[in-house]
Order: sequence, then C-alpha cells, then structure tokens
Amino acid sequence: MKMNFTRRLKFLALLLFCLGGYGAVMAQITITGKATDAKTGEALINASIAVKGTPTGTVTDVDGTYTISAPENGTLVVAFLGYNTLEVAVNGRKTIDIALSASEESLKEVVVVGYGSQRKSDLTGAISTIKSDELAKTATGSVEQALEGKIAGVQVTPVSGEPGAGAVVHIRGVGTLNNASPLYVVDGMLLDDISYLNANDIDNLEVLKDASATAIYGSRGANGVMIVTTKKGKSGNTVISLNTYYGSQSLGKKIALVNGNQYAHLANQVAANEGIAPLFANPDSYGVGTDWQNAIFQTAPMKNVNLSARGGNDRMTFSVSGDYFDQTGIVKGSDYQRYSLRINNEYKLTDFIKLGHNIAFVYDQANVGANPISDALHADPTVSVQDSAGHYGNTGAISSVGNPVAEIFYHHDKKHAYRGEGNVYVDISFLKYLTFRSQVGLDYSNLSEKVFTPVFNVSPTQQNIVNNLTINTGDNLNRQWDNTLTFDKSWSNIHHLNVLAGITAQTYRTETFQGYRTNLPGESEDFWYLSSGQVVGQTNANNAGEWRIFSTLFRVNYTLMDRYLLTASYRRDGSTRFGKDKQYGDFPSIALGWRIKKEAFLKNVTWLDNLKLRVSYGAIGNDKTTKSGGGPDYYPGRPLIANNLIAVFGPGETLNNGATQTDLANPLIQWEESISKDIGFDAGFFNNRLTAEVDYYNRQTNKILINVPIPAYVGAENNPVVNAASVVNRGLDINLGWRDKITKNIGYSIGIVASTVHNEVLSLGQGNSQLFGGGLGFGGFLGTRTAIGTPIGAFYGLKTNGLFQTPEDIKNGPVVGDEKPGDLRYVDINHDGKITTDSDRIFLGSPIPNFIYGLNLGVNAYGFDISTYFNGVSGNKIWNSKKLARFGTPNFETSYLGSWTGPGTSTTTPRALNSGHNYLPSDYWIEDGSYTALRNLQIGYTLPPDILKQIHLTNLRIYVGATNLKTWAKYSGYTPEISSPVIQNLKGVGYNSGDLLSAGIDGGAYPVARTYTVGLNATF
Amino acid sequence: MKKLKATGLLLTVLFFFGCSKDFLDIKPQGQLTSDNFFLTSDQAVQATNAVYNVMRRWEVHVFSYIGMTDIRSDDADKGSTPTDASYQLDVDNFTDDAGNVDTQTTWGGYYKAIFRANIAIDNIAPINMDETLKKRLIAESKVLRAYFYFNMVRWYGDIPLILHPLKSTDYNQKRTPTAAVYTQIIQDLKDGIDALPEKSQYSSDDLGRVTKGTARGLLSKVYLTIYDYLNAEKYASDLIASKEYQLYPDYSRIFQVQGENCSESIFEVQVAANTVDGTSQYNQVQGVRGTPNIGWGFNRPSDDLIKEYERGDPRRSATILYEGDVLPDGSAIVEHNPEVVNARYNKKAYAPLVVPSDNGKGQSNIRLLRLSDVMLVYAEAANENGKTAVAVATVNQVRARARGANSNVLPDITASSKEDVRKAIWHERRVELGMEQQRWWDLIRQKRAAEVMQAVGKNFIKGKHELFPIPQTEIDISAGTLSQNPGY
Repeated sequence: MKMNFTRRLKFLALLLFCLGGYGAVMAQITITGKATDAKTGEALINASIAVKGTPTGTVTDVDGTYTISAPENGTLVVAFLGYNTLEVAVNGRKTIDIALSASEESLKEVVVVGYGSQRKSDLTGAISTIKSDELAKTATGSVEQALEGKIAGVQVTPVSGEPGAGAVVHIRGVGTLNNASPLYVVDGMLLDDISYLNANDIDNLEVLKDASATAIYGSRGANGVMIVTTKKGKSGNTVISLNTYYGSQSLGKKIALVNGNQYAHLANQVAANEGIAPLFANPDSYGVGTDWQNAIFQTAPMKNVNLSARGGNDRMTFSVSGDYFDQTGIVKGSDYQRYSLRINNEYKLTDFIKLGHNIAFVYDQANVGANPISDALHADPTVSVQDSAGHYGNTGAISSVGNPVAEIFYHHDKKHAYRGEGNVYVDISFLKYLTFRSQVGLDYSNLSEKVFTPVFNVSPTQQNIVNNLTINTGDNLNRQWDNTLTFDKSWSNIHHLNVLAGITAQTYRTETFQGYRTNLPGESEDFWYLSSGQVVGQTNANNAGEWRIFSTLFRVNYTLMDRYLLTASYRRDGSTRFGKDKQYGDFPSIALGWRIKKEAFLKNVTWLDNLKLRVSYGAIGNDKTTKSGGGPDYYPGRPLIANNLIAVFGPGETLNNGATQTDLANPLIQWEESISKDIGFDAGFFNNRLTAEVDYYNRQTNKILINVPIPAYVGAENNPVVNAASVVNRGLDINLGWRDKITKNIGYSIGIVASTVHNEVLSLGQGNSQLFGGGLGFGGFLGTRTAIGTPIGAFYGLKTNGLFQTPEDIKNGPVVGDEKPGDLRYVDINHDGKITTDSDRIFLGSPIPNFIYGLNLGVNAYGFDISTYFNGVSGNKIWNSKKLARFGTPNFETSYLGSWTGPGTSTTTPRALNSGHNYLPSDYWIEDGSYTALRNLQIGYTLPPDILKQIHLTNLRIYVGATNLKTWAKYSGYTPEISSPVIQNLKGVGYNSGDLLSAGIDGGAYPVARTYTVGLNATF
Repeated sequence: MKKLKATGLLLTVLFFFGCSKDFLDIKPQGQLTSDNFFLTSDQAVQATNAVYNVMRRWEVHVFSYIGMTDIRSDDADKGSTPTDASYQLDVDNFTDDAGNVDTQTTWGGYYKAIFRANIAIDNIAPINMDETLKKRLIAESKVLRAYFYFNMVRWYGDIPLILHPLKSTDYNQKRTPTAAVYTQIIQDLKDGIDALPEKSQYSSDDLGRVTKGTARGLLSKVYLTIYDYLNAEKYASDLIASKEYQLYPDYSRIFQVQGENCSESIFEVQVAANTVDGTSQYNQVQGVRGTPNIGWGFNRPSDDLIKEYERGDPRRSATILYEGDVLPDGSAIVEHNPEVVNARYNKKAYAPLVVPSDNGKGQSNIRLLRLSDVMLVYAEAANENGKTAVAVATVNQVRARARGANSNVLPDITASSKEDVRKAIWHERRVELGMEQQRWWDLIRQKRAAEVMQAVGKNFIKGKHELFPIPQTEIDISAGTLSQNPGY
C-alpha cells in the first residue's frame, strides 16, 4: 500500500515536471492517418489523438484524418466518445490509420443524479434529459423559457415578455399552495433561480420527477429537481465555438379596442346608464383617436454572442466561455443586457486525486420599463399622446388612468447586478471502489437599482411636484459544503453495489438597503446619488434574512444480474425555516426496476431492444414558505414585533416610536410533505428507432402551509401560516420518440411529449372547507375558491343566462335586486328565488390545464436541417380581469360595441356600465385558456466538409428561425399564457409569489414577443 | 495509511458539524420578537403608541371613513370627477353592495386597530413597571378600543366583539348583539374615566393622548346613541363641569393650523406635517383638485347642507370652500376645474400645501370630538330629560360663539316646547358640526335617515340602509357563521 502511494507521488512529480515544459526532446516525425469506426468504416470526426505522456494532441477533421508530430518511439492515444480508447505504438511509421471499436460500457448513457451519476440502464427513477442544442434553439435569454413544451410533465409559463424575464416552472402539476417552483442544482450547487445561466453553457439538464430521484434532496425536492450540468472540456484538440444570433421581436397580437368616436359614444352610454350627465357633448368629433397600443409597443432587437474554447489533455481539461445577451423590450423604455464568463476546469493531481472548479461570473443590467400595458388598454382614445406644444395629453379626466406614453417617458429605473457562482471540488479515490468528494460552493450576488422620478405635470392626477430618487441595493450570499463518500463495486458481474453517504450544510444570507431623497439639484443621471438630495424628508431601510440547513444523506443502488434493480435513499434535514420543535425531517424512498428485455424469454424478440419496468415510492418535502405578499419567510413561526409604528404627540408634533405585535404566529409550523408514487416503463423498438417512456404518477402533498385567509375581524395584518392542506396530483407522462434515416443523406425525427394532470384538493385543514383568493381588482370580489374536490385556485362565480330584455323579464326574476333591462341574468343555483353571491356561485373552471403537450419535428437532408416544435395546453380557463377592473370610464374592448341598448339589441353583451350588477364575478368574464402554439421553427444549413476544409472550419451552420410564431387560442388577450402573479424581487427576477390562488387571472400581462432570428454556429 | 487518512478526514468533517450544535440556532436579524418584547416600561409605552398609530391610517380615518360618513349623508356628495372612484358614488347613491371597497376597507382597518389595542391591554398588564403609568396606558388603549367599537357598531350593528387576540381555534366568531357591544364600550370608557388624567394633568409632551375628558365626552355620546339620556346628560355635564375645555373664540380657526389642540379640543388625531411616518391623507382626499393642486376633491358639500345655514351664519363660509375663494391661508385662489362638476370643497379639511413634499403628507390633525359637540349632546339629553331651559341655554352658548362679534346674525333660540327645542338642537348640530363626519350617525340615531335622505332624492331603503353591509369576503371566509345585514 505504502509503496503504491509513494509511486503515485513520484508520478505526480514527474507529471508536474512534464507540464512545466521540460519534457525530454526526442526525434520527432510527422504522422498522418485516418480514424474510422472498426465496424462500419465510417470516418470519426473530432476524435482526439494525443502523444502519450506529452501535452501534444490534435483531433481528426471532417473526413477523419489527422496530422500529428510525435517521437519515433512514442505512443499515440486515440480517444472518441463512445469508443474504446486505443493506444498505438508509433514504431517509426509515418502513416497510421486507426480503427476504433464502439465500447460496450460507454455506449451506456450516463445520467446525472443527485450527488452522483448512474448508467441510464440502472435508473429506477423518472428522469428526463434535455441537451444543450435543444435549449439553444429558442431565442430567449431564459433557460426556463427555452424548456417550454419539451419535457413530459413539465409545464413552463413565461413570467412575461419583459426583457430578461424568466418563467414559472411546474413539474407534475401543482403540489402546493405555496411556491411550486422546482429546486435547481447547478453543478452540485442548490439554488432557487438560474436566471444567470445562458443556454450555450449548459451541457445537459435533467429533470428529476419521482421520489426515487428527488428524495435525496429531502425537504427541497417535492416540487421536482432540475439538475443543470455545465459544459466541461474534453481531452483532445481544443475546440473553439462561436454561436450567435440576431433577432427582431414584435407584438404577436393586438387587443381590439374601440376608437375615439366609439369610445365617446360608449362613455356617454355608460353615463346615461349610471345616471350622470353625458361625458362627451359631440361624440362624433373624435375620429379614430389615439391607438395607445401602437404608442407603447415597438419592434425591438435581440442579440446573443457566445464564444467558447474547450479542450484538455489526460492531466487536465478546460472550458472557457463568454456570452453576451442583449434584448430590447417590445414595450418602449425597457432593455436588458447580460455578460457572462465561465471557467470549468479539472486537474488530475495524481491518478487518484482530481481537483476541479466550475466558476461563473455574470454582470447584467437593465432599464426596467414602466408597466403601461394596463393603462394603454384603458386610456381615453380621444386624447392625443402629445399636443402640438409637446405637452402630454391628459388621459385621466374620464378614464382615470395615466397617459401611458408619459408614464414611459418619466419612468427611470436602472438596475444592475453582479453574480459570482462557483464551486471547487476534490475527488479522492482511496481505493478503486471508494471515492471521497468534498465540494465547497459559493453564490454571491450584489444588486443595485436607482429609481428616479423627475418633476412633471401631465394632469392633476399624473404629476410629480418634487423630483425624487430611490436607491435599492442587495447582497446575497449562499454557501454550501458537501462531503460525500461513494462505494462502487461489482462482484463477478452478478452483483453491482453503489452506496453513497454524505453530509451537507448550506447557509443563505441576504441583506437589503433602501434610501430615498427628494430635490436633487439636476435631473440627469449624474445626480442620481442620495447625497445630492436634501436631508429633510429622507428615508432609509435596511433588512437582512438568513436561513440554514444541515443534512445527512444515504443511498444504495443495487443491481442483480444486470436486470433486477433496487434504489433506496434517505435524507435527514435540519432547517431553520421551521418552528424550534419541528426543525428535523426524514425523507426516505425506495424504488425497484426490472429490465425485462434481459430475461431469456425476450432474448429472441428482435424488434424489442429495451424494456424496463420501474416502480418507486417515497416522501419528499417542500420548505419554501412564503410570506403573504410574496418573498421568502425567514422566520415563520415567530411572533415578530413591528417597529416604527409612529404616534405623534406634543405641541411640536414629535414623532414617538411605537412597536407591537401585529401578526399571529404559529410555532408549530413545519414542512410540507409529499408522498410520491410512480410506475413506469422505458422501451425501445426497431433498433431503438422508436423509444417510449411512460409513467403514471400520483403525488399527494400533505401538511401544505397555507396563509389561511382568516376573518379580518381577527385583526392580524397578515394571515397566519398553518400546515393544513392536502393536494393530490396524478397523471400520465408520455414521451415518444421516432428517429430514422430514409437514405444516407436524409434523416428525420419526431418527438412527442404529453402529460395529463389531475389536480385536486383533498383537505384544507380542520374546519376549513374552502379558501378564497384571486382578487379581481376593484369591486372587492375574490375570483377563486379552492375547495375540497376542486383544483387549486378554481374559478368561482355566478353563472349567466343571457340578458334581461324588459322590466317584465326582471319582474319574473330571480334577481339580485338592482337589475335594469340590459343587465346580465344570473342563474339561481340553489332555487331560492333570488340571486345572491353567497349561495349562487359555482365552480367555473380551473386555471390548471389537465393536458399539456409538445410536438418536435426535425428533418435533415443534404446539409439542411429543419426543426420545429409546437406546444399547447388544454382544459384550463382564464379570467379576463383586465376587462373587469374599472375605476373611472376606461377604454373599452370592441366587444362593448355590441352592448345592449334596448330590447332585442343584444342577448349576450349587457348594457355598458362601469361597475355594479354586471361586474359581479361570473362566467361572463371567463374564457377558454386552451391553446396550441407554433413555438419555434428553425431552418439551418451546414456547409459540406470539403468547403469547411477550405475555410479551415470544423463546422459551420447558418440558420433562420422564428420563436412564438403563431398561437391558436380562443382567448381574447395578448397571450393565453397567464402565469400566477409574480412579485418582482430585487434581482429583477420573478419570484414566484406562491399566489397560486390567483393563477390564470389576466390583469394585463406583458406578452412574450414574436421573434425572427438569423444565426450562426461555427466550430474552429 | 490511506484508510487512516480517510478516517481522519471524515472524523474532521464530523467533528466540524458535531461542534456546530448552534448551527441551526439563528436569531432574527434586525427584528424583535414577542419573546423579547413587552418587558419594559418603554416597551409598554411603544405598544400603546402603536394603537395611536393606526388612527392616521387610510383604512381608519381617510377615504372610506369620509365615504361612510359625510358622503353617505345629506351633507355631502361624492365630489371629484364624475367617474373617479365609482364605489364612492355607490355609497353616495345607496347602490353599494357587500363587495364595496369602503365597507371592506373600514371593516378590516378598524379590526386591525382593535387588535393592537387588545395586544396592548393584554401584554402591558404583566409588565413590572410604575403602576400609575401602567394603569394609564391600559386605560388609553381601552378608550381607543371603545372609540373603534363605537364607530363599528354604528356602521354595522351586531359585530364580533373581540377583546383578546384570538387563538386559531377561535377564528369563527358570531356577531355579538349591539346591546352587548355597547355594554363593553361603556365599560371601557368608564375604566378610562377612572384611570386617565385630565388634559391639564398630562405633561405637554403627551398632548394628543386620550384623557379623562375624552372618555367622558365619548361616553356621553354613547349614552345618547342608545337613548340613555340620564347618563348622557350626566357624563356631558361632568365634562363641562371639569372646566378643562372652553369654546374657542373664533369658530373658523378651529380648523386651521392654529386651531389644532385648541381649548375646545377633546379628541383629535395628531398628524405631523411634512414627515414620512407622521402624516395622514385625510386632507389630501378632500383637498382642492386642479389649481391649486392640493388634493383629489372628494366630499363635496351638498346644496342641502348650504340651505341649512341661517342667513349670515359665519359657519357656512368656515365649512365650504368655493371656486374663486381665497384659501384660508391666503396663498392662492381656487380656480375653476372643468373636470370637476360644480366644484366645492370641505374647508374644514383644508391644510396648506406642504412644500417640499407631496400632498399625501397632509399636516392637519383630524378633529374627532369638540366641546361644542358635547355641549349639544348635553343639551339634547337635558331636553329629553325635561330640562328644556338648560338645553336652550346651552345651545345659545354654542350659537353665541358662532356669532362672534356680529350681533346681527344667529339670534338666540327661543323655542320652549320639547319638540321645538329638539328640532333646534338637531339643526344646530348639523351646522355646527357640518362636514365633520357626524351627520350620518346623527340621522340614524335620530331615526329619520329614511325621511331625510329620501327627501333629497336618495334611494334609501328603510330597514336596510341604516347599516352598511358586512364585507362579502368576510362572509365567504366565515363559511356561514357570519350573517349579512338585512337587505344586502
């Protein structure tokens, strides 16, 4: 043993000596040759050829040939992914052709799992993988948005079309009433957000869906886990890649609004119906008026450049990349730029110690636009954007909304952020079968924002008398230390045992600062510093939050005779995010697999290449407690004292501090627990041309934390959090693939992902049968009722049945009591002869689709490639509340033109009003949310090898593409993709507020743009 | 050797974590918890101050408060532009329902205020501190709680009566009958009378805290509201006899900056001008809309109110601000604003524009109870108790002050029958307290709201509109425990 170790040290010394460039010089000869597949004779492109014991190396080019200089008596090491590495002695030859044979072992795909990796054939869990090139096809800065429609069981809804915006991701339904976003694991770092990543840096992304895969993440795995592995270098010739595109974005669909004349008439109609004087004396004098949508939307550019170099030799590998992403918003006044650098290297210190790091540094900046969309939909079209003197028109007089263009013009909000995320690890293989790994990770970000409001006077309600500046800064530090020990051994090809044990700890700390001052001496950005403002009236705020988690974990994978598989895992988490007596939780799982194809009775079934049955069961947690109003709750269960509740006393109006408890606390708070069951199979047919993965899942989440909307008379400022509810999600995930070649030069592929989701609330805690949520704006009504037996956030309201045409109609009832002819007729559900919002409201549909699907098509022929994919959802509804919220007399959607004006004039569209009877929550405002979207279409051309050779490139592909090209939907809004309301946190990243009770309510969303792109992928 | 190393390394790791027992023991950053609060005399004062803090809030004494008092009554119309805040128009026109923003805002805001009072009362009691101060602080919270419940019971009738923070098992409360709510209000105010110092006994730094006089004044109004005229007379008389309060000589200045905490002030919400944490939007929502731009222009004094003033009553011009008028501080003339139909503003809510600042930082105190109000309570109760002469004399004191030096206006009243004197007092209340958010409750108490409101063309439904609807969200959440008021 000792001898061995000493020898290794000697080797290390030698290695360092060699790396230092002091290698012995011997007689060099130039060798040429070709690398081919031993079986088919096809050329192997990009195979690495290295001279053993030296840093010299190259790769084969497009026809498999290479040229290398090596010592006469040297040895060439030839390696290619998926083939057995070959060592060839030179023996003075100048031409060496090499035939590599495909390796049995490496053909078996390896899948990254929590704290390790596994052969795909050994997996017992439900895991989907998506590769880098699939992610890079969609023109977006957000990796999450790029996932839309590509993975079975994963629903992705863009937060908005704002530059730099992310997406809300739900894996296998919505398993909580809180934050349902998955856990992200980037090269082992556990994170809540991956907005800093660019798709080109990602090698692959694995989605862990069932308990067998996720239970190793314990209290954070219940919403599913996405493991991101960034690109690493490979030993062999250095590969330099350039990927770039330029895109042009525009609004995909406009909402039909009435024009100036029509508005004036409708506003007078409303006034008449509400018993006030006409608002427009001469309604025909306004012409078409202002199109406020045209005034705020624009065609905007988007660009991305990514340059990388990857390579290495047998002692080290490296990967260095830089990425620039720049997007201007389709709403004027917003843009976003991101600059990223990444260095992923690995060093073999000795042949049993590896040291490595994955380090990213990102700087991003944004001009955060005003949010004028809702106002553009509501602004008075008889008012011009600006008068001849350049003054902004006053849209507030009648419509009670601000001038949207002025809002944009006077809005100054600049953000920037630095983020460094990285880890350093060491792998020590003590014995062939025992590896210790220690990884230390840091994720630090520093964010700052300046919001400046100049003096302006558009109208009495849209003005600012004194200029002011708000500065926000934030500091987040996330530290993680993982220590794992892995035992991996096979016995005579019958038993294979892999055991993992580990300890991990993570701490997270955030600190924010906010300052505010008025009366800056100038309006230009040069003055946007707090100290330039006046001291009187300044305010400031500074807060911090912290949480820690400490865990032990354990997993056994056992394979018997390569066909009977067992996985068992266990994690114990201790977390500060829960009450003192509830700090520890245990999360076990067990799974079995059977590779039926390996059995003798299927051996001769030639059309079947693979058949594996999987079944798993486990318990996982969700610790993402959310404060009411959004943002993580760092101290749930503790009765905090609110400070600065100032009272004024004394002749000098002295401010006296006040402080008290304003909320109720629940010290028994603990995590939500999901019991997840999965049964599925993987199959391959016809030489694996057809592949299928099918899973049935059932995930029941208990002890869901709910901010129970307690009666207001309790008097708490916020609703308390209680572990009370249970929800089940069950359904089928199907992933089918077909891939074939028609001729040598023509190939095609078809991929289908489809998932059903049945979401149902089983319990809302003792004595609680329903949960209201989903504010609809003015009027005070809540639009959703989550009840036992309904989906989460189910829409709830009155059912309509046409209009009352005459006073006699109304007399015949049943009525609410305030009806006039032309008003909506509501259905008397409980047959008590009258309509009340207490007892006549019913379930009106769910915001959660029960079917989500995606279809990928790819064809390549003679260098051309065409790929396209569609995705869609069905079975869900949208509450069109942007139409419902009316404070003054805002603009109308064209549907109002058909408003009832007298008996028989309409049977569907009620008389025009701003509030009252017709604005009660009802199915009148609910629309079908189903859609199919042509998400992406790309046509590329790859230059043939002979041309590439002439221009000294390994690969060159040019393409044109379109993203969000076409959406087929019944919904009348900009987009049927309405995510739950998202609270923007300081990072400018949408933090899923957890307000799932308000999902599918459209209050005027920033639509995702249609984008046309041209791009280029080149490899040198 | 390698095995040894491995073991050593693992032991180190385990040791590190083993030592970090405190790893999971983190303290909230920058935050007190109830474990380390409610321990000292200072904290007792702060917990009491936190109750006063809610008095300036939007939900308690600003927009919906105006809506559910003046705008609801015949004293005022909604004001502002015709379409701004249509829910206030619903309140004005009696077309509001259980989803109305006003009823929701007020209900939630007042119960949050009550919660803070309950927290203070329960948590100050066990603190080891000066007993006199402790009693005073608890009594302050009780008087504030009584005030909140007094408004609530008048708006909503039977309401859940909550006197301690509720445990999660007790969230489903029934509505307590009005009579029982009044019993509690009376108890709290009596406790206040027992424990609170007079206005003059407080140190000047405490100006603005509730006093023995506040409790007496409120109690006399409470008794008048439940038609207990003997007690109403008694407590009003006690207050007047205390000589703590005198009518302020210049009626119009009571509502100007110099009239804050004047000699007749019994209860007013203290507001600090031009600060971040000491302001209220009470002035802003009622201020002149347009030029000068000092507010949103809600709460327009009605034609009917103007008609009520006797010829030459100086209180009319102290109450109503017309287009073309000079602002009380002489700083500007109110210009015509075409967006506001027949603009007219509540002059009593006027506050000079605070510069540099925005007009949400209004500086004027909100007057809740004045001596002349209690004197009229006294007169009304005395009259009902058969002491007509006493009532007439008291009303005439109020009129004399209003008259000032101009002996040609507001002659003394000479009515002698109980009915005539009652009518005179009701008239006097309306003009003396016009636009001070008292009229609506007076009409309900006087049981003539239907008659009066219908006379001005409002669709007041008898048996319904005496009360506001319980918010729909509350009824939804209570799952049947909470009933709605009749007619809604």
